Amino acid sequence: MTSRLERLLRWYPRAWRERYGEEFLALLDDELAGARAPLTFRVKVALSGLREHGYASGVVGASASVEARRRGGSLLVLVAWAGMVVGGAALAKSAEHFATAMPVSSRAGAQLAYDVVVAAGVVGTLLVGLGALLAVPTVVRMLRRGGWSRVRPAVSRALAASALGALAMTGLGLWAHRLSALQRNGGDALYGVAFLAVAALAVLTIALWTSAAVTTVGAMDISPTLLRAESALAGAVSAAAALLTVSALVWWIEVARYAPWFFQGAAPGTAATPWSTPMALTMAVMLASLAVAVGGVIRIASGRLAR
Amino acid sequence: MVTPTPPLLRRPNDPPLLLLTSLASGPKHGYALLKDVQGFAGVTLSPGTLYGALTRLEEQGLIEPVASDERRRPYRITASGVAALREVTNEMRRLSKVSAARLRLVGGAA
Repeated sequence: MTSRLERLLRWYPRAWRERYGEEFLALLDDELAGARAPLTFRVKVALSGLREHGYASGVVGASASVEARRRGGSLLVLVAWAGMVVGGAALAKSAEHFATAMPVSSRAGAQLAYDVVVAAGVVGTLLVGLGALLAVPTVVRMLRRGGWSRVRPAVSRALAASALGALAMTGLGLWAHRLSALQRNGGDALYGVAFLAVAALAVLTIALWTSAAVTTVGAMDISPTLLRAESALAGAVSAAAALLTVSALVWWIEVARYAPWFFQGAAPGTAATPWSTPMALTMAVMLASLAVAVGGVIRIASGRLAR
Repeated sequence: MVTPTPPLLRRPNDPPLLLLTSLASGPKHGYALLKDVQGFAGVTLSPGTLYGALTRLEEQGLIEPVASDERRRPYRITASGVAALREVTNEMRRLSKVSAARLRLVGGAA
């Protein structure tokens, strides 16, 4: 019975488990009195564990310190940027060769919007990279103090997914070279399925690296100066995310206005609906990521207000 | 000096406030706390909610664990916890008086 309940503790942060795990299990034993834990009971415990992760990382909690709020807010922005990368990659795929499908006279607006998307993506990624670079000495200190055991599972999962993803992308690239442009763009159903599987693997890899970064930050003892710098970078990354999202929306509107046939893969001039399900999903990912980034900035700012 | 009310004790049915109230009558472990809160407030706390609230209360120094060899670790209220509970109770008493007085104004029974 207890071993089954012990598995529920995996939803909680490690430090919490070490401090409260044993007595919490005793409470679960008392509460269940030998009966099997119903699904709703397990879900509630799991959700409580996730909430503790939120408290531990500074993402939630009215009594959290300024430093905890900065850490939590910055982590939210990092997660949001990972979502933005996924959305940006989906947009890049949807927008392939859009310029050639548009009349020359009405291309400028869409081209400008797309260039801003790319520029915002590059700037945001550089800012995230700078944030990671600034944290390197702290990461090294954490590893020297024996922190590797704490971050190893998350980093190993991310490395394994990266290796698998690299293999899958190489295989897909070799396959793509043998296909015509038509076959690559929906003409070959099997290739289409393989492309989607590789894209899903890429999304999973990004998610696992983000999770590894969050775990690493949780194991680090970050100085107030570094936290201030990371918070400022998080604010700038959020601004880049906002610019990227708005520009992507403008790009969709411009292309829908002057070349609606592009989204249906039809010949220029063909009457077509400007609706595009992949673009709608892409915008949904970007808007959700932007909402998370705004939440992160509010969390960082709440520390300043609470002081 | 007026002690500012800790953010986690703002609403009367908040788990941290219910737990402080329960611990005011003496140290208790998790299961005893659940049963006591259920008895005096009619609120059923889930184990996750209970331990989340205990974690926050201990972090803020409002409660502390009592040394025990058993798996069931009891907790007791600290001096800061007593002060915080007294502050919240006084605030609630003041609000209750205002409510009762205004109910009399509209002709209701207080």
